[in-house]
This record gives sequence, structure tokens and C-alpha cells, in this order.
Amino acid sequence: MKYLARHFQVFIHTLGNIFRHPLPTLLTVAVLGITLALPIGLYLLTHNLKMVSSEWQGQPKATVYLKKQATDQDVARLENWLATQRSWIAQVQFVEADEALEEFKVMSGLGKALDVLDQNPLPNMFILHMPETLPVAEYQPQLLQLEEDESVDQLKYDLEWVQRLQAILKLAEYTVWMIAGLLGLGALLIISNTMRLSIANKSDEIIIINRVGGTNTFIRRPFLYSGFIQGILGALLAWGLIKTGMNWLNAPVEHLAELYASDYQLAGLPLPVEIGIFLSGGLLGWLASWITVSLHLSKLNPSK
Amino acid sequence: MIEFKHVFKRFSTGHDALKGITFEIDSDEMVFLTGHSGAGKSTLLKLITLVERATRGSVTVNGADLVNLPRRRIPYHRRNIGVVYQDHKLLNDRTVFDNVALPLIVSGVPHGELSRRVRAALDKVNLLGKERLYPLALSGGEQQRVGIARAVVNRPSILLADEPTGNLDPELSEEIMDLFYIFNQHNVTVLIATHDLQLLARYGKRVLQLYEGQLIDGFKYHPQQ
Ligand SMILES: Nc1ncnc2c1ncn2[C@@H]1O[C@H](COP(=O)(O)OP(=O)(O)OP(=O)(O)O)[C@@H](O)[C@H]1O
Ligand SMILES: [Mg+2]
Repeated sequence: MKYLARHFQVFIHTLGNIFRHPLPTLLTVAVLGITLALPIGLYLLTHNLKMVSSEWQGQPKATVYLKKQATDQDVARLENWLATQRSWIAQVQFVEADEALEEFKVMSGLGKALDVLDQNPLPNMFILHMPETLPVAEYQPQLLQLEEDESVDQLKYDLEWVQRLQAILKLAEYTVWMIAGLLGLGALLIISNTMRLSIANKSDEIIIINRVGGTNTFIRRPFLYSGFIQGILGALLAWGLIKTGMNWLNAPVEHLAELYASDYQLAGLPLPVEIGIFLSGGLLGWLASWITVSLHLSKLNPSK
Repeated sequence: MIEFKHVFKRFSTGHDALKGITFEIDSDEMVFLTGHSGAGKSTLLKLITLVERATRGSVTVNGADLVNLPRRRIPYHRRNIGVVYQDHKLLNDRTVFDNVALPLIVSGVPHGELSRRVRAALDKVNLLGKERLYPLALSGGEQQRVGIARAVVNRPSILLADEPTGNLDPELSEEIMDLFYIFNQHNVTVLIATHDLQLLARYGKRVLQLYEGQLIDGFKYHPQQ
């Protein structure tokens, strides 16, 4: 109890010091906040890139539009033939013309307006899904052959660019993680250095307390508290910067998504990451103070 | 109380600051330490408070063998020794009261007893009215008295001073030295390093004289006999 009371006293005293001399603390907190915000911002960027790219179905696919005059028998014949092509087709989907029109009504938002058409302009179609890993060259001949079929009107496929996009996104993701890692390391170094400066200012105090018989634990305690508090405040600032930035970006992103007929929204920070920011802020501040004060103290006492 | 036996101190620079020092100071004694600049006075005092460790030989204080004292015991050892410095070593951003209270806070003395003892210490050095002031608002002599109050507030059995009058005029110096004399009368062992031969002659106490890291006439030198 007495031990707790003493800790509480140091904590309050440290808080009091911060309020009495807010400027150095504010500067430290600003440095911490910005250095923490950079890797978090990059994390959000990768996070969102991943979400966007997974919304674009990753699999290459081809749409086979049938001729209007194709009969049910033609459809059955093609269906049977496609069923034998398991080596390059992962999944076949048959979409009837009426079904396609209904879907188009919903997707386009034109709805009832399309009822004025006296006949369905859309044909029946097959949608073929190809395995993601299979090189396009492996099935290009078969696709060409399919296009030549008498019941097939035209064939639309988006192949290489999907695969290329996937590869580019993967590369971007790795790059961004690497940069985020470096920034995180930079944050640790910057925090340590900022702490070292603030401790250098208190060097007299440390020496005098050491000379009148203060233990290392006693000397370290207020520094650990102020490091922790500054770390938490820095995390709070970083969090605020990220939130403000997201609010800013939200409108343009929504607008862009609309242009692509998508309802994509910026993904925010997941709760575990938010908690992680505060924990790592506090921990970084605490750790940086511990290391710097301990280094300082090791010079004050004779070895052995 | 304080015992040095064949003590050597070599700094990492290779300089031998103390070469074979042997002496003994009994409890309740008051002793002066003199010698030219660079003779090793400050180094000798630092060995007693374990700011430095002897390279060879044995240092015993209050029965404790300092050569083998583990590092983590050093703070507790220092609480038993009051030290006064030439440059006071006060914290200028804390009041006189807070400066003097520092050794008590460090030892975990409870609040009520703390202020009683700080006032008692300030009373002994005649500064009771100035406890709310900051050190820079005080004269040199007053600052030195704050340093003395801080050195004695924990009621140490040993009081060390490293040229405590170095920055003061003769009159103030005498005043400060008298304070040490009074503490010695109250059973505190006192060891004072000083250049001021005229001043120390007034007290008729034993003098240890250092010359280039060695004691000359160690025990026997009594200026008044
Ligand atoms: N940390 C150190 N590293 C290297 N040499 C040192 C160190 N401290 C002191 N010395 C050397 O040891 C010698 C004794 O120094 P010390 O400070 O004990 O002398 P002093 O008698 O107190 O002198 P003064 O009267 O000028 O204060 C000097 O030559 C000094 O240069
Ligand atoms: Mg000296």
C-alpha cells in the first residue's frame, strides 16, 4: 500500500511537472505523434489496397455471348463441351438473357426505365472462370476455338491485365511494408533521441540525487513515468492525425468509388490496431527512457 | 571510523592520483586535508563516498569494507555520509526546502517527519526564514549553508567537505568553518579538504597533508603544537 502510494505520488508529481513546463513535453509529443503516424498511415494504405484488390475478383474470367438465334440444343452442346475442359476452366456459369437483364436493371439503377424495351437486347451467356495461377498462353488457343463456334457471337475476356494487376499490387504491398518497417524503426530511434535530450537537461538532478544516496530505481521512476505519459500522448496525437486524414480523404474516395460503380469505403483502423498504437506508444516511451537513463546512470557509479 | 590502508588510485588515463595512502580517523574526530592543487584531496574524498573505487589497498568506513561493497549497496552507504561541495551542487529549480529535503525523500522518510527535520537542519545553519526561496536568490554564503543543511539533514555519522570555503571571503569562510566545528561537537566525524591554511590553524585539529598523491607527516602534523 505504501509502495503504491509512493508510485501514485511520483505519477502525480510527473503530471504536475508536465503541466508546469508544457513546452518541452509538447515538442516531444509532436515528434512522437508524427513519427508514429507515418507507419500507421502506410499500414492503412496497404490495408485499403488489399481490400480494393480483393473486391476486384482476382480470377481471370471470360464472358461468352451467344448468338440470339442459338437454340437450346446449341446451348446444351456448348455446355457439354465446356464440361470436358476442366484442365483450364475452374468454373462455368450459365446466365440466361432474362436473368442478365434483371441483374443489369439492378446494377445500372435504371430499373423500370428498361421496361420500355419491347425485347431483351441481351443474349444468353456463359461466364468462364479460369484458375488464377494458370498462364494465359495455356488456354488461349481453346478460347480462340470457342470464338469460332457457330453459336458464339463474341467473346470478351480480361486476362493478362488481371494477372499483371495482381502482381503489381503484391509488389506494392511488399514495398509499403518495407517502408513502414523502416519508419517504425526510425520512430524508435527518434523517440530515444528525444528522450536522451530531455534527460541530458536533467543531468544535474540525476547526479545530485545519486550523490545523496538515491537508488537507480528511484532516479529512473519519474523518467519512466514521463516517458510513458509522453508516449501515450504521442500515440493519441498520431491517432488524431490519422482520423483527421481519413475524414479528409473519405469524400474524394467515395466519389472515385462511385465513378467505378462501387460502394467501396475507406477501411478505418481495426480496434486491435488502435489498441496496439496506444500500447506501443506507451511502451516505446517507457523503453526509450529506461535505456537512456540507465546508460546515464551506468556512467555515474564506479564499475564492480 | 574511516580507515585507509596502502590505498592506490590510478585513473584510466594512467595517472596515479593516490600512491600508498594509510591513515585512520576516529569517530568524533575533526580532521583537515590539505595539499597543492592536484595533490589528490578530492580523489581521496571520492573514495570514501564510493564515487570512485580504490585501485589497490583497503578502505573501511563505519566498519564496512568498501572494496567489496556491492554496487547496489552504494546508495545506502552514501546515506550515512553528508557531503558539502565547493560549488554547492544545489538544484536551482527547486526551493531551499526541497533541496534540503532531497536526502530524506530518497530514503523514504514520511512527510510529517520530513518537514520537521528539514526545518531543524535549516535552523542549525540559520536559514529558517528562507525555505521558500530559490537558491539563486541567495548569497554565496547562504547557498553554501543550504548545502550544509542538506548534508546534515539525514543525521549522518560522517561529514565530508571539499573546499567548502573556496568561493567565500575570509569572514564568511570562518562562519562556515564554525558550523562544521559545531557539528563535530555534536559527535559527527568531520573531514574537510581545504587550501586555507590560515583558517584551519585556528581550530587546532589534526591535519593530513597530501603531496603528489602521498601523505607527508600524516598523523603527526599539528600546527599548534
Ligand atoms: N576522473 C579523472 N580521470 C583522470 N584523472 C583524474 C580524474 N580525477 C582527477 N584526476 C587527476 O588526479 C589528480 C588529483 O586530482 P584531485 O581532484 O584529487 O586533486 P585535488 O587535490 O582535489 O586538487 P584541487 O585542489 O585542484 O581540487 C589530478 O592530477 C587530476 O588531474
Ligand atoms: Mg579538489
